[in-house]
Amino acid sequence: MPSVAILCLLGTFCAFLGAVAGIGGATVLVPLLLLSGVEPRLAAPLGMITVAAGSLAAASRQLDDGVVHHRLGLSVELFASIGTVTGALLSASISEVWLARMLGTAALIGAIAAIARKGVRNKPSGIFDDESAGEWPGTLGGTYTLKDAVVPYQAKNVGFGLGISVFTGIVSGLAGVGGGFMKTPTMSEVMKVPVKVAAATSTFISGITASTALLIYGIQGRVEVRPAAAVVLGALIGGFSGARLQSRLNASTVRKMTGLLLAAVAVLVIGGSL
Amino acid sequence: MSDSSTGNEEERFPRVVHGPNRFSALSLWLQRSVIVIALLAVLTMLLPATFAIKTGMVLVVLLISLPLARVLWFVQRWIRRGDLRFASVAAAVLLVVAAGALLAMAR
Repeated sequence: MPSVAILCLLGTFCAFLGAVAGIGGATVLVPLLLLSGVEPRLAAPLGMITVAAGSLAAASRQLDDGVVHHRLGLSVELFASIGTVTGALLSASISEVWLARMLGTAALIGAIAAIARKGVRNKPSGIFDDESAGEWPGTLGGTYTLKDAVVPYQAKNVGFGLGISVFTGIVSGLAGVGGGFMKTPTMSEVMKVPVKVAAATSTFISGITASTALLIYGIQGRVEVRPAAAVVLGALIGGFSGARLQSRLNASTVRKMTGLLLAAVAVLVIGGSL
Repeated sequence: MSDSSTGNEEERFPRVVHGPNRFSALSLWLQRSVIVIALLAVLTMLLPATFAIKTGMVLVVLLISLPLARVLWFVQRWIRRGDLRFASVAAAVLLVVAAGALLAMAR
């Protein structure tokens, strides 16, 4: 097991990436932990601990900024969970190599979609300037702040997006990962939600996925408390600072960062399967 | 902005006015939880093993329960505000989590 300082640094790094780009972070952390000599049995729970702690640390800032769409996030999470259960049940019948390639391909598609898109999709609208940013009750729409302007948005292709969420859930369940890196592009590129909202919403629901996984790992006795504490401390720092940075960056930079991280995830995952 | 474009915007986006800082209570509650979690993490790293196991367990239990408590907070909020469709979605997410935990225990 690496030293407490290294675990803390890894937790900071991955939770920071998770909060800025909404990619969860376990998909990056778990391979890094394995490279640093952590047993695979313990690496997955540490990955989920980072995601849960990073999500909690980012939550307050993201709530104050009005960038989390809870209704959209919980709808996506519900459909993804149905897929995750299906995937977990099917996991014994699919080879790990093909599974890794499927995950890598999903990340690569998300990366291409995020990097290729130009400009800002949702434009500021003067009529919402007197409103605080946030989700609208009873709908999958809302507003968010872009520089000093308030921008309205409404989720589109909802049925298709939720269908893809089932698929991302199946892939997550098959591979045993949180799948945050697939949820952000689903919301931003398929459902046309602004990338900052998609990333913050994905950070929120990644916390729920991680908490479910941790509950199961806890029951299985796979959580070691001292390494977990080191990773938590790092993830709190990373999640907090990532959320602060994300609120200052413009949408196009967040989208490019998400795209580059997804490309890195694709290389890591596909590279490991060759 | 011209009148016609404003009209279109209002047609596309139903105007719902909500007050500022509407999640301030939740936000404050999460900030305090993060401080408690950070303290527990430090204690778990510094205390002797016998005590560290106990503080570590509390830490993990908090990490598991806080995101779920946040969902529960939205269930009650949306029920109180008559947004039953999304309250049921949030409740269904909690049910799936419970089912997953029960399946894990059954194995």
